[in-house]
Amino acid sequence: MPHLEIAGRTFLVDEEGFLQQPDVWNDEVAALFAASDGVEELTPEHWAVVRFIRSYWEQSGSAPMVRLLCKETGVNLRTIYKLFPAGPAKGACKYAGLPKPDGCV
Amino acid sequence: MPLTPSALVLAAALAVSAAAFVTLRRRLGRPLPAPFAEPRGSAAAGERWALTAAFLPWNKESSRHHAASYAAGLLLHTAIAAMVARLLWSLTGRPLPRPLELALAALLATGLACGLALFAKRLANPALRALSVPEDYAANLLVGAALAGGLAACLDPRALPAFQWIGAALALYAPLGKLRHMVFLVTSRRFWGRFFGRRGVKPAPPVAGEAPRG
Amino acid sequence: MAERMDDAARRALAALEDRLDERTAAYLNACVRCGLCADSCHVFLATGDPETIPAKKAERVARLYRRYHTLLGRIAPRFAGAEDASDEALDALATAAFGRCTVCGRCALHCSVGLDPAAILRFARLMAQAAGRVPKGIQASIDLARATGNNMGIAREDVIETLSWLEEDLRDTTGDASIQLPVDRPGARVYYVLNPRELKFFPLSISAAGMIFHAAGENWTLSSTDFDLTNYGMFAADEAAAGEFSGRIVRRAEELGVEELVVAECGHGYRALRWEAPEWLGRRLPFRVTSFVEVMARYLAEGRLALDPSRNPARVTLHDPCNLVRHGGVIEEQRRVLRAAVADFVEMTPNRLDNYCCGGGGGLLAASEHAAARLEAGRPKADQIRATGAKVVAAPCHNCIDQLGEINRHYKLGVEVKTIAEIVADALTTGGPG
Repeated sequence: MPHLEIAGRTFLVDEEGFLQQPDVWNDEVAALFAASDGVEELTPEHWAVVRFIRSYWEQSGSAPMVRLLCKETGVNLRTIYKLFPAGPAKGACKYAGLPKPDGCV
Repeated sequence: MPLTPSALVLAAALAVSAAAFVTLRRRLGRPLPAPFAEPRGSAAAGERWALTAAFLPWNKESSRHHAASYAAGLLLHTAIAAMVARLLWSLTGRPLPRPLELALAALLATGLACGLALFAKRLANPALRALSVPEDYAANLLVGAALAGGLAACLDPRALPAFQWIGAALALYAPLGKLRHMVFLVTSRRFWGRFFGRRGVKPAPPVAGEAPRG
Repeated sequence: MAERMDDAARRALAALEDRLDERTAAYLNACVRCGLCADSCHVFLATGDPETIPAKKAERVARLYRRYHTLLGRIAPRFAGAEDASDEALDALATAAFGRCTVCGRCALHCSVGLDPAAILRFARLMAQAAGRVPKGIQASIDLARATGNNMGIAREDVIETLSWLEEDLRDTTGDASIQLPVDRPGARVYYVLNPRELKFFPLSISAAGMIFHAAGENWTLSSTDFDLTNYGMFAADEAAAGEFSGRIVRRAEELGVEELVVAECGHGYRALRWEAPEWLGRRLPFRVTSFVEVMARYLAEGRLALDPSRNPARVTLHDPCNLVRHGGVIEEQRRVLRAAVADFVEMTPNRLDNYCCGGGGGLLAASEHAAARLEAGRPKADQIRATGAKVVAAPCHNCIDQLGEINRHYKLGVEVKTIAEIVADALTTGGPG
C-alpha cells in the first residue's frame, strides 16, 4: 500500500491518496491533506464541512449526502464546490480522513 | 497436358487448405443471436462500408498516420493476390502471354520488396518487436519465398515446379497461423461493419447542414 | 491470491471455451500485429509503453486462445506466441484489460485490418472476471448495487429528501413555484434515471434537468428506488449482474408504463440501457431509450426551449464520451445543443468518433489500484483541452466529468467541467433563472 509524505509525516493511503489509518486522523492531518491538495487555508466553513463529514462517518460508516452537509453546516451547495475544488468526495471526504466512496467518484 | 507431380501436390494442398478454413470458420465460436436492441443505423450499410470505403487510406487514422506502411501493406497484399492467381493458373498447365508474365514479375518484385521492408520494420522498431511473436517473422518469410518463387516462375518457366512446391507449403500452412487472417479479415470486417453500422456509428451519419463525412 | 491458481485458470479457460462468440473469435484470428493501432490509443500516446498497444493488450487473450484452441499453439506454443494460463498470464490479462484499457474503442475505428481490439479486451475482462480478478473498487460498486439498489448505497428516504430539497431550491432560484422534480409519478411519459453521484454529491445536474423538462412542458418522473443508471456489471463483464441492474430499471419503466426511458448524461449508462440491456434480458424493450442529450436536441428542434447563448459567454469545448459516441451513435446532438446554448463553441481536435478517451472510462475511475496510470492516460485529453483555449469543458458523462476534473487539477488546465444540461439550464430564458 502506498505512503503519502506531507511535511515530514508519513501516512498510509490508498492509491488515490485516501487515508487508510482512521485512528491517526485529527485536525492537523486534515490541514496537511488539504494543503497537499492545494487547499492551503482552511476557513471556519471548511472546518464545519470537514468536521461534519468526519462525525457522520464515525457514526454511520458512510459519507453524508451533500443535502445533509448543506443543511447541517449551513454552507450553501455552490460554496461547497468553491471551498473544495476537488469536490465533496475527492476533496472534503479525503481531508476528513474517509476511505474513498464507491461509485463514479 | 498431364499434371506434373508438383501441380498435383499443389492442387491437393489447396483442397486441404480450403477444407481447413471451412472447418475453422464453422468452429469459430458461439453463434451470435440476432440482436434485440432497436437499430439506430443500418447494419447492412455498415457492412458495405467496412468492405469498401473503409479500405480507402484517408478513412482511418492508422493509414493516414502511417502512409508508407499502409502503402507497403497494400502493395504486398496485391502482389500476394497476383501470386495466388498465378499459382492457380499454373494448374492449367498453360503459359501466360509474355508481356503479362513480365508485368506480373514487376508486381511480385515490388510486393516482395514491400514484404521485406515490413519484415525489417518489425525487426527494427522496438514497439513492433515487442508486439511480435516468432511466427510473425516466419509467416512473412514464407510469403516472401512464395512471392520470390512466383517471380522466378514468371521470368523462367523452369522455376514453375519450385513455385508450386512453395505454393503447396504456403497453402498448407495458411490455416495454421497468422496467415489465416486472409479469411478472417473478411469475416472480421463483416461483423465489425454490422456492429458499428447498427449503432449508427459507421458510415458516419450525415449531419444536417454539413457535408457528409467518410 | 488466496485461492489455488488452478481453479482460477480453469474458470478463465472455461469462459474462453463456452463464452467466446464468433465475432470476437474472428477478431482474434484476424489480427496480424501490424502495430498500426498503437497511436490510436490514448494510453499508448501517454506512456509509449509497448504493453499498451491495443494489439498487445489483445494478445493477452490471443495467446491463451492459441494455446488452447489452435493446433499450432498446442504443438509449438513458443513459435506461435501461445501461452499457458499461468498466474502471471492471468494477472497480465487483468492488468491489460482493467488497468491499461478503457474499452473506449478508438482503436476499433482505426484498425487497418478492420477488427475491434476493444471487443477482445471486453472478452479479456470476462475471462479476468471468471478468474476472480475484477478490481476491488469495481467489484465493491457491484456488490453495493446488488445489496442496496444503487452503487452508492443511497437510501430511499435520502433520495426523496434530496429531491425535495432541490425542488425547493429550484423554486427559490427561478422564482417559479410551479417547477417540480416529480418522484414515482404514475402516468408519466418520461422516466428519467440518474447517476447516484448526482444525488449524493453533485445534484446541480438534476436541478438543470428539472428546469429543462419544466421549460419543455414534459410529463416526466424520477424513481425513488430504481434511479441508478450505472452498470458496473458491464464494466466487469459480469453479465448476470449487468442484467440484474438494467432489469430493475426496465421492470420499473414497464410498471410506470412510460413511453420513453431517458438516461441522464452518462456514457456507459446509456450504452448499457440503450444497446446492451435488450441483449442481456433477451428481449425487445417496449419503450424508447434515449440519452438526455438527444432529448434536449429534440426539444430544441421542436422549439420547446428558448435559449439565450449570450448567457454563456465563456468559450466552451466538448468532450465526446466513448460509450455515448463510438459505442452509442449519439454524435451530433450534443453539438447542436451546445451551439444553441453557448456564445463561443469550439471543437477539440480530434473530435466526434475520433475523440480521445478522458482516461477514466471503462470503470477505471473505480479501480484505485490503477489510479496513477489513469491520470497519466489523461494527458492526451489534457493536451486537447488546453489547445482549445476553452474555459468550460462540456462533458455529457458523469464518469468523464470526474476524470476531467482530476486532469484539470493535475495538468493545471484551469477549466470548469460541466454537464450539457447545466449549460443549457444557464441559457434558458423560459423557466430559467433570469
